[in-house]
This record gives sequence, C-alpha cells and structure tokens, in this order.
Amino acid sequence: MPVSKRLMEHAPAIDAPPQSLADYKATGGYKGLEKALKMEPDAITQMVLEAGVRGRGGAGFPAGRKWSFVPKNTGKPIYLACNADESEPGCFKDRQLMERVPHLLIEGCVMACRAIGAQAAFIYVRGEYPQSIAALEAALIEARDKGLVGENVMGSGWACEVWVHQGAGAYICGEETGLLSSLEGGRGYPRIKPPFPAVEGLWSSPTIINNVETLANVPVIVRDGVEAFRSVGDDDTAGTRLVGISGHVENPGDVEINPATTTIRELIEVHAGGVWKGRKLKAVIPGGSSVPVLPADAIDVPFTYGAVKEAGSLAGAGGVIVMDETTCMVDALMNLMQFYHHESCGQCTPCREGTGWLEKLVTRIWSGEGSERDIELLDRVADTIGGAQQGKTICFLADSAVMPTKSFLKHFRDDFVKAVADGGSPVFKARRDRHAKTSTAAKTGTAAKTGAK
Amino acid sequence: MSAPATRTPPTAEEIAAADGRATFDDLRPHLDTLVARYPARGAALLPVLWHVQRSRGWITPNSVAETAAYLEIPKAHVEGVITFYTMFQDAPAGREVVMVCKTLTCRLRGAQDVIDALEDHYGIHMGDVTADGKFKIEAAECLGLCDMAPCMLVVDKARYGDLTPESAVKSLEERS
Repeated sequence: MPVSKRLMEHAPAIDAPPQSLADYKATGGYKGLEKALKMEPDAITQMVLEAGVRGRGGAGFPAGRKWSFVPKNTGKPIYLACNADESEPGCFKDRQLMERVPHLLIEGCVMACRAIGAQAAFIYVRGEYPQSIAALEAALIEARDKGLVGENVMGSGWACEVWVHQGAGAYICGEETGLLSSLEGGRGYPRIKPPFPAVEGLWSSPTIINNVETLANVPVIVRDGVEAFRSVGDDDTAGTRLVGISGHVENPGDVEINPATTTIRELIEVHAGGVWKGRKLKAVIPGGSSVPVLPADAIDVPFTYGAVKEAGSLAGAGGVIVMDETTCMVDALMNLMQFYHHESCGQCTPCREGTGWLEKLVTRIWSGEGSERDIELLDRVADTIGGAQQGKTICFLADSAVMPTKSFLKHFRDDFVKAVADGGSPVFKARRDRHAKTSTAAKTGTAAKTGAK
Repeated sequence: MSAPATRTPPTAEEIAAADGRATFDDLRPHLDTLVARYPARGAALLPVLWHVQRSRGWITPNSVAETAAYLEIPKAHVEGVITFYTMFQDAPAGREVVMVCKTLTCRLRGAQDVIDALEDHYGIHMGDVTADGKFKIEAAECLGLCDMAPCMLVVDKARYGDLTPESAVKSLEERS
C-alpha cells in the first residue's frame, strides 16, 4: 500500500527530540519561504488556492479561498492566528506535528503571513500541550537567531514575528472565533458571523485562522509546486492527511496517508494493527468525536472528505476512534455528552441547556432509570438544539453534540433499548455490583465532577 | 473513600504563603515582555495569569487585583477569565496539578479504573488536593494524548500514558 509522507517524511521518532533547524534545512526546510519571498504575495495565495488544500482542523474550507477574503488597503494591521488548540476528542495529529517538526509549522506561518500581508502570527496552543509549546519556543529561538523570523526575514527587509500563546483549558477556544476572543484576553466566547474574521478578527483587524496541519502544507506546496502537491489525494481532498487512530486498536498512533487510496478499514487494520484483543469491530467515529458514528460495515471507504461524507459521517479533524464489540454505546454516548455539556461556553440557551438535557437523558438510560420515552426524548432534544446554520446558536458546539447523538441512536438504538429493558448499561451494572461487593457507596459512572470548577 | 471534595475558602495563611513566594514587582520584568507581544495590553491576560500562577502556585485574590491593575482591565474581567478556564487555579492546588483524562478514548481503554485507583490510594475524590499537599488530582476532558490512552498530565511537567491502575499510582508516588 502506498504511503505518501510529506509533512512527516523526515520527522524524528515520537520520543526523540524535535527536529533541529539544521536537520530541517538539510531536507529542504525554509526553501519554500525562500521562494515565497521572491514571489508576489498574491501569487502565494494563488498557489495555495490551486493546490486546493482544505482546512485540516475539521471544517475543510479551502485555505487559499479563505486567504483571498482579506481586504486590501484597509489601513489596519493584518494578523495570522494558527489554531493549535487541538481539543477534539480522538485528535492528536497537530501535537505530533508540533513536537516532531516544529520548523515546518513556523515556516508555514511566516509564508502565510507573507501571502496575506500580516506581520505577526500567534500560534494558539492548548494549555495541555506544554511539550508542544516547548518545541515551538525552542525552534523559534533558532529561527530568530538565523533571521528566518523577526525584523528582517532572510535579509528581505520584511519583518514578521511569530508568537506562541498558551491556552488554559477550554475546548471552545478551538472554535475559530472563540480562539480570537481568548487570544484577546477574554473568555473563549464564539462570535456571531458576519463579520467574518478575515474582515474583522483580532482587535477588529483582518485575521486569518488556519489549523496547524493546514499551515504545514504551505511550505510543501510552494517548494514542490501545485502539480506535485496534487499528485497525492484527489480533487476533493488534495495532498496527504495526518490521521490519528485510537481506542480499541492494538497500536494507537498517527499516520500520514494518501486519503484517496487509504480506507478507514486500512487505517484500523494496517496502520493501527487491527481491533485489539482479537475482537470484532463495532463502531468507528472517523473524524473526531463531533462527527457521526459509523457501523462496522460502513468503513470500506477512502479517507477523503467526499467519500466519508457519502458513507454518512465526516473526515473532520482526522481522529479515528475505534470501538470493539464489547462497547456499550450508551456508555460511550454518555461520556461524550458529559464532554459537550462541560465544554458548552454558555452563551446560547439551546446549547447550554440542551447539552445538559442530552447528558441527563443518556445518564438516566445508562443508570437503569430510563424509559422508551427517554430514548424518543433524547432524539427530540437533539433535533431541537442543533442548527447553527439556522441561527439557533452562535457556533457549532451544539451540533457537535447532536451529530453523535443522532447517529448513535440511528445505528445502535438496540443498545439503548436494551439498557432500558435490562436495568441499565452493562458498564453501570458492573460498577454497581463491584461497589456493592466492596461495600463502598455507589458512585456515578465517571468521577462526579470534572475539574475544580 | 473520603468525603466529597469540600471547597472551603483559602485561609489567610494560605493566601499569605502564596503571595509570599513572589511579589508582583518580581514578576513585572517578565510580564512586560509578554505585554509587548500584543497590540492591546489586555490581550496578555492569559500569559500573565500563567506566569503569576507558576510563580505563586495559584492565583490569589491579591493576584487578581494586581493583574487587573497591571493590565488596566476590570477585576471582574480577570475573575471571569479565571473561572472560565479549567487550568487556572483559584485556590491552593497542591505542589503539582494532575489531570487524569476521562474522555472517550481513555474511557474505552480503562480510564475509570485509573481514576478509581487514584481516588482509593489517596483517599480523595477527583478535584481534591491530597492530604500531604503534594497533588491536586482532577478528572479532565480530553488531553489530546489519545495515542497514549489512558493518560494523565502533570501540568507543565510530565505526561504518562498506557496507564494501568497500578502504574498510575506508582508514577505519582515516584514524583513524591
């Protein structure tokens, strides 16, 4: 099976130190920037547009098109914000990229700044990634020292600064306008669009927000050319994709693939060593926890945006979560609803209250107190609270709770019906029985409280 | 199993001890370099709070007032930000903060057993500080270490993966 590595081609092993500037340069590093500095900025945007690279943070919006929305000559400064707030359950590819090839991201940031006319980039890294921050900070020291970042980039007379900004634990800051609110020093509240960030973002100035992996593709595109870039993937998903595979597999980890020729089944069976313990597959969430779950028989599709969508889900942010035949889907959904309820920022009533309702209903079913009616209600609440596109909520967090809920009920309704009939999820009953034996007070399925607040 | 986490307000002694670890003037030189990165002073709030927390152990009431004055923003705004983000500590938080992941991938691979073992070993509930004051241990939403599930993070310092109930306890004991 062909493996087309580009971003991670020369990446050091997972536990090795991050790639140094010298090693990065020895393998073509900063050649893209050198070339870009001799180009008209619009020509860089044009190349990225023609390459067709789509946003790797989940939404899949074409990066070149996004860049082209930056208004010219407003007199305001322009900013680049790199979204490294990788918080989607099941996703860890951006962390791998930052910690193994930090210069690739830095070069991508500087080149993107050049293209859109920005003189400063902020890399917003989630607070839980101190090792990623350390790798980037060390690489930035090297890059500043060699004049690749700073007052006079590669002797061109053009100035560009790159700063690392540490988040402090909030999933919603991965939503692009929530990230802007956080970067400005506030709570990570998403903002109503329009105005879109490209027109009015950080400090009311034009701002482009791109995911780590998206920006890491920019040096490759400019260095090797559009045609070479498009030789991997297809028209729908150009270039490689970094995918993390986790859950019930033998060898969890991340891999760079040709999305046009690699199926979800291959990701699991070839790249992750198959379902663990010799068990059978039950379900796969292919793109991070917010996308619809797929049943075991729906995974013979290539990992392109289009093919996964046709199969009934989304390739999203490239986080494949695998669940084996022993998984209780009520338990899995309860866990996800705890997550979305906890992470709802609270601005919009349908999301703040609705995610709480979803959590309560699925917990009731899980703990044997549910009825058939609760299953219907779960479905109905999901229908009621979703729909950012219909203007019900500012951002897509509620929809991110709805997609798993609807799809779990669609494909695995039997698990819910069984939990209602049998007095709860098998996970609940096992915990109850164990606690009865040790005569400890019964606890809830997970720790009673997440975090201190 | 101890009683559920009780969140009594910090004592005057605890506040004085944290504030005594560094005066705000001690912190200023580094804070000035952070503020210089942003076109607006208030944007440095998160990096400033991180530095204050690392220097004092947690963000004391005085720290809130000093940070607000330093960044020329309302105290209420600083408090609002601290309570929004899970990694900012507004009460004594032990010598190290341990975040144990509880989200789906980790749960599929045994996170609940890890959480149970840590609660039993230290006689605490998630979110409590251990009796010896060494750790605040809390259950956390996805840490982005799904390839190492089940996992835990010692904030700013270390991460542990492929945990078993035994290895989780041993890993923390070895930090003591």
